[in-house]
Amino acid sequence: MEETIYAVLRELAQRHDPQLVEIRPEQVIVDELGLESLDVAQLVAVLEDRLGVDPFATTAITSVRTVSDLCAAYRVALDAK
Amino acid sequence: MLIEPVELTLAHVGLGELREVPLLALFASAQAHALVAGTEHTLRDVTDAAGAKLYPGYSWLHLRVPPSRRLGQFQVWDRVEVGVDVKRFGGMVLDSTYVLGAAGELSTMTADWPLDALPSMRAMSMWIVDGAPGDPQPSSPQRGAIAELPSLSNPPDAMKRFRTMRATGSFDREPRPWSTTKPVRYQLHMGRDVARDHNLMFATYVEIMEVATEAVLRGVVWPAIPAALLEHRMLLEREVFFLSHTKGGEQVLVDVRAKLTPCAENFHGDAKDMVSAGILDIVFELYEEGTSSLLAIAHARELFLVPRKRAGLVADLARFLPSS
Repeated sequence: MEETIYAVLRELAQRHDPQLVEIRPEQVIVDELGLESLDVAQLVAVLEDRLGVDPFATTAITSVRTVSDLCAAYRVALDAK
Repeated sequence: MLIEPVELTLAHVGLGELREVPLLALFASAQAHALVAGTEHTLRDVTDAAGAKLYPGYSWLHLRVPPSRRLGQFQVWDRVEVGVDVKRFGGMVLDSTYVLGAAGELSTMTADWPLDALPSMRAMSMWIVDGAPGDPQPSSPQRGAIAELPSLSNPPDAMKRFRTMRATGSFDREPRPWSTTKPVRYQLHMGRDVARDHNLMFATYVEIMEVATEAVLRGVVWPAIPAALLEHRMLLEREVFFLSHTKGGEQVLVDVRAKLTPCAENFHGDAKDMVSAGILDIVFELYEEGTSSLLAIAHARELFLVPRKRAGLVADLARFLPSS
C-alpha cells in the first residue's frame, strides 16, 4: 500500500518539481510537495482505483497534512474493508 | 443522468429570450438536483466527514450553441428540458455533460443527445469547502451525502488541459486588432455580484466578460461599433478555466483581445430573415487587482446575426472586417 501511495505522490509532485526523487513520511503534502487542489483530487481518485478504497468518505481530508497521515488514513480504510 | 422539465419563467428570461448566464444557472441547478437525486438532501446539505459544507466549484466549462438553435429561440413560458449527466473521478472531481432541448426532445440515453445540434456544455468541477480562506480546499462528500454516481477510471481530458492552461495563463497571445491597452475594471459589489461569505459564482465571471466585451467594442475600437449592432450578437461558444477565487469588495481587471472575421451570409442556417455578418473571436484574462492573481482565462466566439430588415447594420459591420 505505501509503495503505491509513494509512487502516485511522486508522480504528481514531479509535475511541480521534476528533480524530486525522494518522498519522506514527514513531508507536508501541500506545502512541501507542492500539490495543488487538482493534484490532491487526482491523488485520491488514482488511489481509489489502485487500492479499492476512498478513506475520505468517512475521514476528512482536511485532517491529513503529511505523507504519514495519508498512509495512516488508507491503512485504516483498508483494515475496515 | 437526469432530464429536468423546466418552464422558462420571468425569473429565467425576464420578458425576453434566454441568455447565457441564465442558461448556465439552469445547467448548474439541474446538476445540483442530479447530485442529490435519491437522497433526502439538497445540495446545501452536502458536507464532508468533518461536517464542513461543500459545493461543486467549476474548474472548467465549455458552452457551445449551434447557430441553428440559438438561445434567442428559447423564450419566456417555453417548456424545455435540461439534461445533465454527471460522472465522478474519485470522490472529488465531477465530469458533467449538459444539454438544453425543447420539451420531449431529449432521449433518456445520454449517448443519443445531439450535443452538436443543441445548446450544450461540458464541465469539470470539484467539491470545495465552502467559505474556506485562501486557496480552494478540495474535499469529498461524506458517505451517503450525495447520489451514487458512475465512476471514471481515467482522468477527464479537462484535467490535463487545465494544467496546461494554468501554466500558459492564456488561450493565446496572438495580437488582435481590438485589444485593451489597459484592463477593463469591474468592481465587485457585495449583494449585487457576490453573496456574503461566498466566492464569486462562476456565472458572474461570464457577466464580467460580457461587460468587458462591450467596453472593448464601444471604447477600444474607434470608430466604435454602432450600439445597435451590439444587441445582434449571439454566442457560439465560450470556454472558461477558473484558476482562483475572489470575493466581494475586490476589483476584477480584464484583459481582452478580439478580432472580427467574415463568415458566410447563411452561417446561421436557412432562416432567410437573418443575415450572418461576421464572427467575433475574443480571449480574456481576468485578474484580481489586490493580489494580481489570475482568476480565469477564457475564449468566446460570437456571431453578429442581423435581421435582414436592418441590413444597414450589415454594411456598418462590414467596414470593420479585415478585407474591407
